[in-house]
Amino acid sequence: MDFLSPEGLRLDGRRALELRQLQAEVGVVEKADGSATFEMGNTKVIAVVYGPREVQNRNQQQHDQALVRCEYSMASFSTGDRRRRGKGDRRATELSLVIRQTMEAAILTNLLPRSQIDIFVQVLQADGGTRACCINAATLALADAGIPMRDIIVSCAAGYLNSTPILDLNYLEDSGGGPDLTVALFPKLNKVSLLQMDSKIPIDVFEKVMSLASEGARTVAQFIKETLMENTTQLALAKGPPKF
Amino acid sequence: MNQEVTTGWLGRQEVRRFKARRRSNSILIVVQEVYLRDDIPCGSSLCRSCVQQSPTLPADASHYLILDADSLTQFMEVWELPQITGVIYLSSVVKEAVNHMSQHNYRKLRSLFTDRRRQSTFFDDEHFIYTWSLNSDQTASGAQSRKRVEAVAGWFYEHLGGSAQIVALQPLDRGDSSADESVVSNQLGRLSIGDGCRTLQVLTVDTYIKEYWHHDTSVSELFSSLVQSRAEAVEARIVLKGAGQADVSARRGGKGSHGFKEHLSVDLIEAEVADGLLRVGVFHVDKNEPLEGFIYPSNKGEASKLAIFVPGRLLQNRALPGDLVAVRILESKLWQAPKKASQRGKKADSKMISEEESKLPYLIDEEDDSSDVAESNLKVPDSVQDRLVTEEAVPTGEVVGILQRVQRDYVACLAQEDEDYLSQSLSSRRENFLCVPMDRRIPMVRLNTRFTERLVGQRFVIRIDRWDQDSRVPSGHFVRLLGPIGDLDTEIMALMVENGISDTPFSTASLQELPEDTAENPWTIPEKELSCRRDFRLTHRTCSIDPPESKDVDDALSVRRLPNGFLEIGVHIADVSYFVRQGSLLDLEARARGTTVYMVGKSWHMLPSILSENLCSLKCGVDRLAVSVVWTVDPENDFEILDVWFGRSIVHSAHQLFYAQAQAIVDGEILPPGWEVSGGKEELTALESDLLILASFSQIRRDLRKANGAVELSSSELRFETAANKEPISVDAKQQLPMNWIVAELMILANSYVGTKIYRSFPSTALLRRHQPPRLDSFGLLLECCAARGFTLDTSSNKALADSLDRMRDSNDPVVENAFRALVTRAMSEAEYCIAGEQSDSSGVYHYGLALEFYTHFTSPIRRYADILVHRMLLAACQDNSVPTEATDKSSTVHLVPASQELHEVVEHLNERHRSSKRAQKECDEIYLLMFLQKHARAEHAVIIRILPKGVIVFVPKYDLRVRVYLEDKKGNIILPAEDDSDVDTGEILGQASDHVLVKEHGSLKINLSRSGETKYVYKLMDSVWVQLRADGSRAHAPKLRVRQLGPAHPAARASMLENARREHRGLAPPVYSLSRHNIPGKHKRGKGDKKQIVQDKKLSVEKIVKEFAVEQARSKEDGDLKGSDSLKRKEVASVYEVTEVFKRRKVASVYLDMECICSSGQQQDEVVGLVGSVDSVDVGLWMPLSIGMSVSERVLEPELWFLKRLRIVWQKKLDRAARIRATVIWSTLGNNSSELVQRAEKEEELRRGANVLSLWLQ
Repeated sequence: MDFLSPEGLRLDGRRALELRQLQAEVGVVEKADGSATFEMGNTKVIAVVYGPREVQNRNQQQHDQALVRCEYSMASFSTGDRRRRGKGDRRATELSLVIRQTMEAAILTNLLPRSQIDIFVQVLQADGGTRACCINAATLALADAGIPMRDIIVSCAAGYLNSTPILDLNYLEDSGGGPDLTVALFPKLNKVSLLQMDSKIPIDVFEKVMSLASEGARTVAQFIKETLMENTTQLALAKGPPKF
Repeated sequence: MNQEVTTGWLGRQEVRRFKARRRSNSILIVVQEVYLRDDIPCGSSLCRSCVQQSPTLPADASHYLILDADSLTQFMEVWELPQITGVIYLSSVVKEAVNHMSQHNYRKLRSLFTDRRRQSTFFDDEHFIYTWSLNSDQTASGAQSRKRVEAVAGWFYEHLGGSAQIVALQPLDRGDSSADESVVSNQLGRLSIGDGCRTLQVLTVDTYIKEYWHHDTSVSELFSSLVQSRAEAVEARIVLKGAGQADVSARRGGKGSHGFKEHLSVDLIEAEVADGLLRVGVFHVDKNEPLEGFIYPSNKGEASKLAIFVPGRLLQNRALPGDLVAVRILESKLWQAPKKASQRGKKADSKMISEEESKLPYLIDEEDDSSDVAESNLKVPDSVQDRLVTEEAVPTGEVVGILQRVQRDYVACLAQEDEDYLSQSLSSRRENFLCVPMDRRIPMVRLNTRFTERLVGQRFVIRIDRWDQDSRVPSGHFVRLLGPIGDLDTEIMALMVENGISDTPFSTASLQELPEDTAENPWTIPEKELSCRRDFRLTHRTCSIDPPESKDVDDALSVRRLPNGFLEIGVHIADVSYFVRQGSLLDLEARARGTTVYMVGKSWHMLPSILSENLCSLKCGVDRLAVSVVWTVDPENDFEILDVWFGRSIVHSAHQLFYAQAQAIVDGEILPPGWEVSGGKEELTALESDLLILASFSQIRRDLRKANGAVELSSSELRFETAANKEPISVDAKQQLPMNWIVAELMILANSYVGTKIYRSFPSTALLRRHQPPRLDSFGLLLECCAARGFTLDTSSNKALADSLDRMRDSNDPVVENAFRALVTRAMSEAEYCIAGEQSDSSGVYHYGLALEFYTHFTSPIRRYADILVHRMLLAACQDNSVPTEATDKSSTVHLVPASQELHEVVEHLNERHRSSKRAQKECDEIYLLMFLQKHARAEHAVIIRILPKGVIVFVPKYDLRVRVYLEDKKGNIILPAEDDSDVDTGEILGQASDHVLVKEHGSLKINLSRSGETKYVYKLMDSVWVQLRADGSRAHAPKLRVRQLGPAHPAARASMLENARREHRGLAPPVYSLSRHNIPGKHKRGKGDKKQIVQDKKLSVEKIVKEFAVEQARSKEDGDLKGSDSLKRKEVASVYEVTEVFKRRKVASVYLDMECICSSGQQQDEVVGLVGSVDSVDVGLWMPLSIGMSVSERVLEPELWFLKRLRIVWQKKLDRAARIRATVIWSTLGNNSSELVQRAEKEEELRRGANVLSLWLQ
């Protein structure tokens, strides 16, 4: 199948190096300590953070750092066919783990000993690249909750189809059988925290795809920073001028 | 490597679609994003505002055409014509069309706009912000899609500012309502806006063709035949629908029970295949047995080796060879035995050599009435049932559905009956005709056309559209005319079409890319190239060796002696990749062609002649660009390769030799007029020593390769001499000179070095050529033959195979050995191109035949596209260590190695092109051979390779033919070998045959006298027989071969035998370095009688030489007299040299000079000895009276000759039996027979007297 027209346009009209439309909203769940939705095109994820709070299960408590827990799930309406995807399935478990580890690396857990941070991530609408979208949403939610982090962590996926590195695959492209590589990195520290790919790929191609994904992640970082800045500005305005 | 992540889109929309899922029987909601943008270029060269790299729409086109989906799918064949350019393919239209298309057609469709030669463009109107509409949905109704096409046309018209004529097509009228809705169309169904000559028009297809292509018959004819065929199909569908089920069965009943079964639906087939009830595979039919189909099922997880047999048109159920079909296996009691054992199956030595065998049941000769043919076809199953033999039956099946029809062109002519009809009543308006395809496997085809008058007596191209259930024959449509039947050009064209080789000329746009080279403005090497290439022009003496009259010289060779005693041996290949830039139109043309196709007397070049015959060709006397492989070798140490250099270079070929000429030089013969090389005697000597070095080098490489297990394969190529009207007047097997091997070996070496190099640099994407080991079961027949002769054939590895072939050579006559070699060659699998990274199976990229780890094609870029690719890879691989290139160059060479996906497609394509061109060339040879045999019957030597119950299969090594010879005809008469001309020419069967009986015994066939039981003739495997080959003409097909066995006493057989014997004598005593092992002294054993014959022959030739020399000598003396005594001496010194030269030329292994005589002619004895030592011909010995003891001393020698001598020593290491010293040998070879000794001495005395200068003897 052709994923690129002779013109170089993808099936949805993007070029190979273009991201989908990014949208984000912070503070969507009032009750939670932090929450955000993040959209990459038609992929929409909501992330909710509770904590830092007391550890619920005492014997899990760690005396020198915070306990980070993560729960990933897909809404049953998130895909077209109404397949029930509980939180118990393998995919969900794996993704929970991946997100937890990534976030744990970002959070300064040693500042919050004997406490617990819960991250709930739910996919509202799935159209490829959910993994990256979840991480981005979680970052926003953590930032909203005011949890200390080394740097924001951002993520983006890239693939390789029709001998071309392609940024930010949607569902159609994702199911095209090519490699799908997700990168999560700290934009300021310039360090990679997550790199995941499940297929074989020649090493020279890998480098191209990898650098493209990182570049995409940096663009996402820029967007997230702007979102947070705007959010903070609004909060500051709502709060009014500081009183001394 | 930072890529810019951009956001170029302007808007985003979401489109909801509904998708029906067949499996789960549900409807799926699909929401897709559409990103809209305005940076999509229009693709026209006229446009100034779009940012575009290489617009494809031509600026000078009369109009741009925008197709709609209907006309695109219905008339795709028209749009495929090369003259249709300037088409804008809209993405929405393509998407809509693809929905109704098979995968194969989709690929074709894609090539319409991706192939830049078509000068068409693809326009993504769905994502273009000005043409996008919310309804861009695949299920859009006709009116909507029509609106869209018109909207885009309108945009194009405005965008180009009216500078181009735009034509948009609209679907043929379906109803009035759509016409009203149309945005811009008026009542007439067409609209024009704009003024003057540049307008925007909306037309239907037929008006478009009428208005724009009425001048071009090929377009309009193809269009109208397509329209006709479509109309007919629609009509048939309506009839079928209207008739109802009962009627249909009645119609079927009317035609007897021979109607075809209905094909199953695709869903049903899928389901049944999943359940394991059906098998899917490609339908194969053998050329000789058109009614016997085989299918090798390709279901997953099945033993696919077992073929399913599908006999008869009824069970085949409208399948054509090459179709992908689904088969149901019948109950085992209905299984049948094929007449021809399946190639892959075990040897089913069937008893069913039935009557039809010789008649070819479905050979639709013009004599046959068409209906009879159809009738007999359908009856075949019955007759097959009659001869059902259970123990030999194989799994038999019936075709229940056709998953994919093969798409190809067929060459056909009108059936005789129809032709007669036409010639009688020219005024008739009949439009339905039967035509006979050239391919015997294809049934007759019904043709519906208006051009019948023009088709009479012509061959033309047709395509098959469909095969209705109630029709006996498929229906097709006419595509184009080829020419009159029987005309050689037409037949060759037909061959090309049948093999899918395109003969379209190079497009004008691609020709514009060629560099200019005219008389007033000749092409020269640009300054830039001079600086960045290694210059071999002055340092290396370069020459090329090719077949005579070849104009495209791919390769040149050079030798250079380094001061440190090493040698530089260079292979220089034309730098085609310099002229054919990656991605250029020329590149695309070359890629599409894949290879040059050489037919008898004509060739279809891969590159335009200005490149292939001039600028790329390494002609002599001009500077040319090349890519070189240069080895540094150590001549002292068995030519060990010390170093190798690859890279771009400039060469200046000094000599353009042809094989025979180079051979003559290396043999030291006097060159006949026209064969001389420029540069005089010194140059000749230098060239000779160069060639000798090359010969020795390649001999050593060849031995090395053989030691590693290379299999020497034989393939006889035919050479035709043609008369002025191109008819063949003589045929002969091409002669292979040792020089051919020498050059080939150097090319193999260069290829393997380049293969290794690119593999090292690009382990995943290197283009290599591999040769897989043969399938073991393909040796079945061969092993039997070997057993009959008492040989063992070890097929476990290539080395073992080569060894067993060599063993055969030692002990047998060459005819049988050649036959074996040819049979082994046939058993080999085909070599093919492959991508290094993709080979995961055990054999990998190993080349079995050549015994090389890595092999590729590098040495013929002028005639093979693969070589161009390999050149690019090699240059990319060399980039780091070769001459420094500028930064800009670097970025361009990144793309030298194409991405693997693209490469994969190219490789597939090249393999396919390679195969088809090979096939076409072989078929062309066959046609010429048959045409030749049609005029002149030939008697040839053949070997029995298989015993059948009523005949034998013989192999004719000379023509590489396998034919069946019958010993019993259909009436049961025995056919005896013909002893004289009378019955051969008439083709009559002997009357007294009833006296004989044919008896088949284990492994042999005997003809006995029926009364006494006495055995008259015995036929065993690998027996040699004489056969006469003739060919019968046929109108619809190629001529057919007829074979008749001859008795050894038959005059034709005798004549042929004599001729062969003569040829053998001519090739007697070849030069020592000859590569064939026949000639290595001591290894080859000959019978006693042979030896005598050879000695006789040699003696004769010596006498002749001596006489010639005497004349020469006398002449040189006369010259010498004029120059005084000193020069006379010199002259004579030279003459000794010359004598040995003469002998070398005569391929005499050793020469003995008579000291006495030489000395008596006035020279000092040791001067002569020194001279003789320096001459160092093949083997110069001194003939001297036994009393004088003397040895050859190495005296002051010229460096050149000294070198030559060293060379010989190296090279004689293996052959040096003759180096044993001389006089004793003479006596020992004479043996102890004193009378023979005396006789010999007398003979010599006589010779000496006759020559008066020298006496000679030879070993």
